[in-house]
Amino acid sequence: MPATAQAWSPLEVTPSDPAGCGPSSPSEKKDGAPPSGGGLRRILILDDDQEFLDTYGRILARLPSKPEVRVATCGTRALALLETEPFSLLITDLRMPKIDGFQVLLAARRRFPTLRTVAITGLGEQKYRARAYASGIDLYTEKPTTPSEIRLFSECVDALLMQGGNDGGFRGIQSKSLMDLIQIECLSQNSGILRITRGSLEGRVWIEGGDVIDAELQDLRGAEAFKQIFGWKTGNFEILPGDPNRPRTIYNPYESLLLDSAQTLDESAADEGAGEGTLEAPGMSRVLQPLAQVRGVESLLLTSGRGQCDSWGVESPEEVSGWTHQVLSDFQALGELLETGPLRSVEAAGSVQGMVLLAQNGRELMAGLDRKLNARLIRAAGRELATYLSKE
Amino acid sequence: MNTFAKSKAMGPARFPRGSYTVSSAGNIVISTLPGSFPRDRMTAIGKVIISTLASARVLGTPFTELAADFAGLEIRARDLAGGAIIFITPQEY
Repeated sequence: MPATAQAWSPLEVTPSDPAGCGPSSPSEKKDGAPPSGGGLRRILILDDDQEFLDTYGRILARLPSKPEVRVATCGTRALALLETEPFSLLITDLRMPKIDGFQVLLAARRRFPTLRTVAITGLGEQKYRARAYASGIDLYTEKPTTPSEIRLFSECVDALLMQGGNDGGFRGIQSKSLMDLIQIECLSQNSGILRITRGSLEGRVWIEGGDVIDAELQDLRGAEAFKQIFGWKTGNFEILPGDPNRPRTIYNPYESLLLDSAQTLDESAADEGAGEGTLEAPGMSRVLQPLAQVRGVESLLLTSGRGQCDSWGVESPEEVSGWTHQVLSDFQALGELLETGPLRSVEAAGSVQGMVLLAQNGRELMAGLDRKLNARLIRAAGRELATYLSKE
Repeated sequence: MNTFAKSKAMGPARFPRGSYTVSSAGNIVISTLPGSFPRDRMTAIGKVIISTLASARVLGTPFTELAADFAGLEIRARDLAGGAIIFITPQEY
């Protein structure tokens, strides 16, 4: 049997109203508004081209599924956002300085297996296609430039959003469980190797003439490995050619094997239910977590008097830390010269991001803010951050 | 009377309200601040503003606007192609 890589094609799905996707449509202003309900779909666009982000942020915000669109200009920032907010879809450029799109895709696939991913490239970069699909993306496309390309791209993105990513099922056959997949192969009396990946984990199930004969997952072999793999609710799969020389370690009929393993699936579901709770960003220190909740905050860097530095979403923490210290020192010295009283904050607005710098009790804070915030909102964010910082 | 002389009894100095522009070299180009406001202080403010805007550009986060919020004074500046227009506003309580 030839190798069969299963790929879900978003082109097969057509959104109900693609009309509002034109390139000239203005975006709805979001300004870091919090999610309003469980049905909200969020898109994260990662590209080092701010103009591209502006344009496609507006276009995608007007999709029929009404997604909330967030943008990031570097991989570090994108990963930080993924860790703290639930996203349905990540759209990323592949070629970027420092952390490129492939690294982000691999990290995202590992940490967020249900996240839909789209890779976009410039003209003439088709050589990356195979590598991108190998990293488990849902769609690979060149950056759309013409109105028809933009419309098609928008329709694809909307289809991916409508499909969702958290409903379970294995990519390749949506809404089918692993039990369905194995039953199909066994009932058809096929021979092949079912290769299943979930994040960084890879499991294999050997099927020979309609019988499950072996399974492997890391150090596990046989029925134990099969049960573990069977506990996965989501993942990617492909069917590889069979291996008739594979030693048999599983002798149970596939029906009883599936029944036994179903118990493992139930236990896995119970464990996941028990683990549900508030979203806690794994890459963020505890002290930064309340600060990250302040409206508009996109990155943080906090240095203590002891030289300890915590950062979140900052691409070059050492460089930013040194710069923050220099700016705060300069303004504090200026305040002493002018006798203005204590420096409360330094605030900035810019085309890339807004910023607030604070110095309190020997600690220095840099908060990168949504560039759409105006001076009043930047001031409000600064006051809120100062309040949180004073409580620590 | 020197408006800007430090008054130990009254705490922080009082400041005028106005604006001025500085070149990218930190030189004062034009000002609406009263002549009694010391020029060296205007220059000192300008230098910090210009150096901060320049270093932010090097950092990859160019600013269009910059503000320093002191207890007694707000300094707000807008980037002007390397130079800046600076607004001085005393805090009101």
